[in-house]
Amino acid sequence: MRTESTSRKIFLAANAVILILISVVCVVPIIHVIMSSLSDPVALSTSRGLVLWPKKFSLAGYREVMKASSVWKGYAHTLLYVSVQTVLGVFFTSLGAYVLSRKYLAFKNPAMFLISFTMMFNGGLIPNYVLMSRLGLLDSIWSVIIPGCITPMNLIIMRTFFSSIPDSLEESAKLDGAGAFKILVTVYYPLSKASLAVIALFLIVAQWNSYFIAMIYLQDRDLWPLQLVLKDLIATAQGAAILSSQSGGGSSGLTVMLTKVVNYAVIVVGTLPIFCIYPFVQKYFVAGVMIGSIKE
Amino acid sequence: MKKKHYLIHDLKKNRAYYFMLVPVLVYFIIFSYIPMGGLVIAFENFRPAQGILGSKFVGLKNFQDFFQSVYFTRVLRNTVVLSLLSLLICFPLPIIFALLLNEVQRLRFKKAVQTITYMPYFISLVVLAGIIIDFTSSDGLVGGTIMRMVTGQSVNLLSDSRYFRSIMIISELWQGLGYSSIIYVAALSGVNPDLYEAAAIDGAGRWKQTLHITLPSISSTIIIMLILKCGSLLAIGAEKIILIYNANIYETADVISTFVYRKGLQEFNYGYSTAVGMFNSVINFALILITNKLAKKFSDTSLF
Repeated sequence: MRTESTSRKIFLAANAVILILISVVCVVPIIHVIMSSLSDPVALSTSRGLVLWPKKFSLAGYREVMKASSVWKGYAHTLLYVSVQTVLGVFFTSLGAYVLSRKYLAFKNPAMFLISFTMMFNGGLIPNYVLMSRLGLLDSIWSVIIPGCITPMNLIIMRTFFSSIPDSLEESAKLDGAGAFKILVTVYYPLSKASLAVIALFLIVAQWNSYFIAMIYLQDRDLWPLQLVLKDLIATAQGAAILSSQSGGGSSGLTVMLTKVVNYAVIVVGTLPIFCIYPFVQKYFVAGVMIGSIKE
Repeated sequence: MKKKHYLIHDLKKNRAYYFMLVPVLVYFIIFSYIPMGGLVIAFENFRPAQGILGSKFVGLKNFQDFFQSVYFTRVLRNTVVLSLLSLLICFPLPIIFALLLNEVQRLRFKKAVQTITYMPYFISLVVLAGIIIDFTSSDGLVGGTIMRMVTGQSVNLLSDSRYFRSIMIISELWQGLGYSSIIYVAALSGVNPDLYEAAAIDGAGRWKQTLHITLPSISSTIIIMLILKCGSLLAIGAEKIILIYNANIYETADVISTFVYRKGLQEFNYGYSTAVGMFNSVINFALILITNKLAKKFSDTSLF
């Protein structure tokens, strides 16, 4: 019995060490980026290894980022795309999911099949692009808002939640003369705030982080969301660094040092809002993933 | 006849409900099913000005061109290798991680580890790519400092095709390990503690308990996740690779989806690009059906 408990203790200690190591590996790159972004460009260029504390604290990187009007515009557009898509997405997803959760509807299963099938097969890049251009949506904000607005996964999560609400509530509301839409809004919405929040957060994070759709459909830089602006800034900085390393530093040395810090600042600026809401988001995300994994 | 009657009756009686479903169905028909119809582009010498109906039908020419081109083996090999590496490494590790987490008795410590390890998942691909580019550059943390320590020479890892696969897998693991484990952690917390007690009384140690109680009770979750993973085996997205690859490392970095992107939207070879994409989608679809069937046969757990 004693050996069992000793080996158990060793296991638990080793386990804790492994888990701490994994956590450190997860968090250290993030700390490195944040601390580097707060460093002095020259001091940073001479530092080797991890930056776990600002090298000569400076906001030079952020000043450069703030100067770029494209960053502000990008923020504004991302906020626009995120808010419009979230409102529309949550509304239409809840409408559809409510109907699909009604067990007595004869056409429920065919409709569900039609929707789920799109998870397994799709037209792909070019047919989607051709459709968007035919609809005249290229270089319009709708080309970014429409894709991903209603997803099969969100519908399934919402439907699973709605089916867990007792039917008796719907029946008694029906007896009071309420119609389908009124029942959804007055009976189901108040009971499902948490899952509506899950859907909203899935949509917010996905849209905040996406760049690919915008890159394909938006040629007009004046419509670019933040992530696409950041991508451009990072690529430019990378290009400048390669160029100067080929020309052997020289007069462009300082700009290169600066671009590195700017790069870090850009990364922080693009992620900060998500990290600010992260502590609140996390538990909803976990809830969403769990509901999504339940099969019928 | 009776059935038809019932369906019409159902439509009439519940028309308010069906009416609410219309926007969702219209959305999927326009933005998912019409593009599926648009796959005919793969069989055409498609010119945007002539449209889908006006473009010249060329049968399987686009597919033949792809199968016979020098790129075919390269993109297929890279896609398969990256997928298999991801399946072998990035699939089992979150399960092991969840099992380790499950052994932790101090709730606070467990919560802290979870919060920290889920965090990288919320970082966008653009930012992740920024971090990768920075770390792997010749004056970065990995490409510079670590490579100098190990090999005595700093290298820009993204310009050498030998390192690309490791970079992809490590970054995928870094970003997804914690998040992918959520589902298993949830499944593990649902295991009935009485089972462990009974096993302990029967003299089973922790290892045996894990083997005979823990793993079987989360096996259905594992199988479902495995089906999903196998189904998306060849669906490696272009989104991440496009941000970090360059022409020097196409040898290992170019996959089907990045090839589709370049051919289609950079070289405007619409028909060819659609054909390559369709080849990928069809294989994916087949993979989902096959894994689902196998899972059904061997374990009674399946997706549909």
